[in-house]
Amino acid sequence: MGHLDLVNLAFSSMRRKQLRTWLTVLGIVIGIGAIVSLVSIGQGLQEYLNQQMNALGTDYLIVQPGSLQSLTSSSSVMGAVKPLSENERKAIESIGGVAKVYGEIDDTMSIEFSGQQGRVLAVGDTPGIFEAFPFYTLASGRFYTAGSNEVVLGSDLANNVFKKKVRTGDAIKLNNVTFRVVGILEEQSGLYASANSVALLDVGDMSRALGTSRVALEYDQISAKLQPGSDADAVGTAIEERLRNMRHETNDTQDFTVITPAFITNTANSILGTLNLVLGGLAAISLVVGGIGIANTMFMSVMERTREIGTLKAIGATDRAIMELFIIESGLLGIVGGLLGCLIGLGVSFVMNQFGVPSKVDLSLVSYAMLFSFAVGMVSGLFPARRASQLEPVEALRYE
Amino acid sequence: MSHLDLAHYALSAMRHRELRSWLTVLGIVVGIAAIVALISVGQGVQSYINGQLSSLGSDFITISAGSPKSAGGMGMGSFMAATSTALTTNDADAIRGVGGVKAVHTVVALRGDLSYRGDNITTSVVGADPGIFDDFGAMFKVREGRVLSTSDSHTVVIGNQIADDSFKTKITVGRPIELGNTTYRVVGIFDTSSGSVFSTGSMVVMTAADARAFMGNSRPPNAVDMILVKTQPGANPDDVANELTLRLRNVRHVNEDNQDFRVSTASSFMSRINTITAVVSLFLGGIAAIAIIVGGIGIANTMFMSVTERTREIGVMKAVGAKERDIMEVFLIESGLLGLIGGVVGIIIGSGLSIALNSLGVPALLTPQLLLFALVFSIVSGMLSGLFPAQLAARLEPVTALSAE
Repeated sequence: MGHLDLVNLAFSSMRRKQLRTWLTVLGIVIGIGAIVSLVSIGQGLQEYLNQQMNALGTDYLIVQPGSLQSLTSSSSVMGAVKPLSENERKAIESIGGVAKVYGEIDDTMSIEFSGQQGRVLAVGDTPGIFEAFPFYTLASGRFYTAGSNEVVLGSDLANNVFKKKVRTGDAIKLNNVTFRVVGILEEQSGLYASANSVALLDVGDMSRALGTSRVALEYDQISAKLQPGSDADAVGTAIEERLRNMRHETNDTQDFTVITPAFITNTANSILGTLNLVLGGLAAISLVVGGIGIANTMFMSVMERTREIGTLKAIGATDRAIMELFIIESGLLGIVGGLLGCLIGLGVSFVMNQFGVPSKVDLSLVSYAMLFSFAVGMVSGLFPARRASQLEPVEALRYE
Repeated sequence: MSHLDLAHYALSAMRHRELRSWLTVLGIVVGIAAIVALISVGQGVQSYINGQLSSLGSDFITISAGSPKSAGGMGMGSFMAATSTALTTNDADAIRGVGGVKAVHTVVALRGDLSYRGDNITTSVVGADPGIFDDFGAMFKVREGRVLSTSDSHTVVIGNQIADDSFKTKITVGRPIELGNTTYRVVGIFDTSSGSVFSTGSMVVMTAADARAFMGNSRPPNAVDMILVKTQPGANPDDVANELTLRLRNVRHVNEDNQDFRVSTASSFMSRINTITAVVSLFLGGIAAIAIIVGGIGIANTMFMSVTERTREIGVMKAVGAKERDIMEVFLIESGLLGLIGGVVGIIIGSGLSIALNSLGVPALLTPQLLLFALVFSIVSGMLSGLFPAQLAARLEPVTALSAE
């Protein structure tokens, strides 16, 4: 029997018991729809993150005190870490491929303005960092210069904390040292929103204002801008070797971390990838149940058409042909379910995007879903098809 | 027809098509097992966290600067990052007299450079009045040496991480360290903290007086970063917390809308954590519940087929006097039974998975409520799935039914 004949037979039998066929397909539709919707959200998030990362470029790296484990566990602001020294900063600057180095200190300072006092997170950095890493935009004024006790405030800090709004040109006190506000940031959003409540000042000024609590000029973070064309990973390795040397440390006892752009994207992607797998896996449970539904329907189908099968065999159909017939039928149930499920998943993804949840359905997701649904259909039909193919023609013809 | 007869009839119909019944049930089994396993993990995580938190007791309140609307925990990280007008010793004094308050302690925090034998690190430095160790001993357990006393000067207690891991040689009790430009003697080393308000492992604690000298005039002398309140035994911490909030609003001249401080009780913190874990496990459980929906469709499918096959039977039953109601009852019992059996087997498998996860180190907790919920859920899913088919059967015209093929 030609393959086309078998397909036609499959279709006609499905059409005979429409309600049953549709209910069976519905199970697969829901399963595939769930998988596509969930995985598309995961992919959307991944793409959103990658876009943000790419905007940062690839010509930079960051050195932070604290070993990799301590960085990923608790916040390094709270831990006890060996900061980076001025010598180490100079050493990093001298490594081939490094264009310029910026040292940073993070700490809290007391802030006073128009009679009110508070605590603020302060970030002291080498001037020029905002041109090298243009994440922040100014609403008014300019960025600070070194050694002049100048400060730039985040938008929330300037506008919402004190009874009076702080303006460019005002004087404030940080740790009882007078600073002049030379600029105020625009409200930042997304990844940079934390800057809204921060005071930015020169690292040397900050170190002096912190007084006796911090001794020498030391850094909580060093950012390095690389020369165009240099390989961030290679430069990173060179820095690691140099600093390990200076600190007399080995690979295992290394207590600082060099973060390259690739490192960040890889970590983020692997976290999201795992999330995707978990969500997809859970949704796949419903697909398994859908497959059980197909198996059920196919067993029913075989039983009902026992005489039909007997007739087919009597006029010359081989066992193989019978098996093919039923596997095609169950595979078709799978494909139709997969197709509709993908459509529903696309719809959900579209709606999600309207609501601001990033969601991306790409071709590989759809093709995987279609293949998967076809496979589920075929596998579910395997046992019923075998049973059908093994029917004795004489017995089958006699079946009531 | 009596209910028992109807039930018997339903059972015999199911046994008539055994394979079909089992496959239908299998769908529910998979879904219920997944839900039971997932939610048991959620509950396990919740009870683990609660256990950690309640070891601290619940008779304390923390007050920190910062708006209560912003996300924050109870620990130091939350107030170090906040921008706000600071708390002062005035605030602490103002609440000492509030009913139910046993003791009020103030804490200042900053970061400092700690040198030991020529090497140095940056670490958190906390200044507190020594009375805090009496009232909050559970948070500040030492494994060597002692805590600070009121007569102490230029002495510190350091965290185990600083003592053991931060320098080439370990720091032991009695040794001197340098903070800023001043020398302090180590009189105690903290034990590992677990889920405490303070991560004492990487902290240096000195007396409030020493801390003020350490800060110099970088901060006003009456500045305070956190106020810890111990409540009287028997007092309700939440009631006391409310009283404190009102009193502080008065003293700081703020009202509910612009409240610039946060009052947290152990229970409010726990309930925040519990809400988060509950939401996550509900979300995961919800995804697993999609499987139940598909299983329910399977039941509906089976029931429709069942009705079609037994059309003549239904006609006969109606002919001998069965009411529409009885017919509906038959099929609802049948679909409910499918759900019930699926639920029971699913619960058994799900519980097995949960126990297996436990032995692998993943916290998973089975509660009677979870199992009861799963059982009811499966029965209801079954009956709901069977609703339309049952209605279809009930509305068959006896004459037409009897003449069906």
